[in-house]
Amino acid sequence: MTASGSIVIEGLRKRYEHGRPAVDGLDLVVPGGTVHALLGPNGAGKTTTVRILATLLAPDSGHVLVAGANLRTHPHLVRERIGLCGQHAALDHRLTGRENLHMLGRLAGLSRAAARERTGELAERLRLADFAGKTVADMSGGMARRIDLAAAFLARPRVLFLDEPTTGLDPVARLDVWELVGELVAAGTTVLLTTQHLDEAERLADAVSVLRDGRLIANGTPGELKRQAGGPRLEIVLRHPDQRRPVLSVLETLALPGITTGDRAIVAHLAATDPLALLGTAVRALASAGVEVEELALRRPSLEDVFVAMTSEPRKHRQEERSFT
Amino acid sequence: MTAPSLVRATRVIGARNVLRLRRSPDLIAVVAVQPVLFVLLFGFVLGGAIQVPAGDYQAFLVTGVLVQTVVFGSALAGIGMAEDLERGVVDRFRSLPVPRASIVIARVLSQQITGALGISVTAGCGLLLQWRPHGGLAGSLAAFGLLMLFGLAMSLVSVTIGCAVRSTEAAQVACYAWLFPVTFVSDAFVPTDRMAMPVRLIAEWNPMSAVTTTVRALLGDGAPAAGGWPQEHAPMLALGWCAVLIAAFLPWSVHVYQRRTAGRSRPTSAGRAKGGAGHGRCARR
Repeated sequence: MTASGSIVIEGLRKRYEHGRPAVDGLDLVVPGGTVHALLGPNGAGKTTTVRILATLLAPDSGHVLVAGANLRTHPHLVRERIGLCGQHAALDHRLTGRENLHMLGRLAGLSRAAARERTGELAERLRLADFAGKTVADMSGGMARRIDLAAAFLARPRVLFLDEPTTGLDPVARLDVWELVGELVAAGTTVLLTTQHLDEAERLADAVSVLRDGRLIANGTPGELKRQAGGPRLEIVLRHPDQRRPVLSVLETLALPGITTGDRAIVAHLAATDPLALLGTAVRALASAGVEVEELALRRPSLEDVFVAMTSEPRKHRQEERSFT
Repeated sequence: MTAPSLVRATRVIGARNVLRLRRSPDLIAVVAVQPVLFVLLFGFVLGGAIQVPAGDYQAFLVTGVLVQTVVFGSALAGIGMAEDLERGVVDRFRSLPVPRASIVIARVLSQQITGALGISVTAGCGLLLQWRPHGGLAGSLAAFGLLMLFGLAMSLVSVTIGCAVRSTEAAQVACYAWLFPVTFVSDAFVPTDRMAMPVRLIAEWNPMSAVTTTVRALLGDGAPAAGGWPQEHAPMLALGWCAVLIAAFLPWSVHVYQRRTAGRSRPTSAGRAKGGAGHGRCARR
């Protein structure tokens, strides 16, 4: 199951009737059994890509293999091997969770008995039993999303597409969904998810692709992308803005690679070698200079920093390596 | 595990459509309550002022409401289609290994079940009010068959509209609103012979009039009004209209459905925003 669930995308292009290309020459390989996150701002082409891979949308050009099936020549084979969870819970609101699951199981090709058995099994495993008897209209967004995920997983797909799986959910429901996705991956399913939340990509994904304007601008593990954003940072928030000067002079003696300042905030980029020793030196120097510090933190750059840097800067990242590691 | 056949997929989706109907008070109102209201309203309030050729307005009215029930009910097919498209249910079905035609076929067939239900309710209501069919079993069956055929034709029109509009709200107006003039500018409730001229001509040629006149003849509800060519050839005209509508809207509905789902244009932000609002609605409950 693991090896056959890979996704191979070469030169994928899609342009809607009016406007610029939504997906503009995308190349991507997702090995079977891994979780890959497509990250990008609104309109970057994430949803379009997922809709193409799920056979809902015909691409203009490109070669795609999903779980070994050619998207263009064998879309029905693709459909037998995938599960899709779109941006909104695509369930019938007047049916109960269980009725939805049973119906979708039948449509996925399960026999009546198998659909019933699988619905019961998933309800138990995904802890849906308490609300599976409610109509979807009476469920919270989090409950509906769980049913939706269960539906995508009914026929044991080799590849699961999750389009912004936690959008519109409260933090507790988000954690719940993350846990669920983790369980699915443990079973060997390949997951391609889109998200705007970096913590989500960081938490779930083995590899991350950053999309902008339908192109891949970065690709790698969350750790690799963070390394691209440089070493750890020392963040200082002062109580009084007028104490900025003494702080800066202290930091200058430490010969740091870069310092950015705000009104009361100072961010110093540290060389990655020995951040703790630098932190000690900085704290002692600040204390002896009599500076009142409100906050002081040593922080690794988050994926957020990477993301903001890559999606807002002009297109210099376009030449970034596209290799998959 | 094998991909479901067209028949199985249609049956599963159709069963879901029917189940959905049972859970929807608003839809039941359209199918079951509205015909009763019309029979009562026209029968006891407006009917006294309407002169019909055979003299028995109650009988005249019941057949009119039978046809109207089928016609109004067909609007549900388009509204249901629009709702499934907007809510992403169609996308989910399309991501499954089901023959894609099953989605449209199931919608039209489940509407036929709803139509049969509406016919039964209306006829039952008529029977309670002393209305009796006089055309024998064959006549009644033929009338039922024609009503179902007309319902099928109108459902195809409705599904075409439902696929063409961009939201459920738009479908509610687009599938419904035009049916009011169509049903009233016909001989469903009022004989056409007293209508003013251009309206009368439209009413006489209205497919609904042809169907109503034919059903009246089949049920033996009084002699048809002395009318022009359309009334005299009502059975032929009724079947002809059904054939024309089906011949035109069967391929057209498929075409519009394919166009809508081919994704040539970017999904509307309105639809997405509404999806989000839908979540909010769920959460508040």
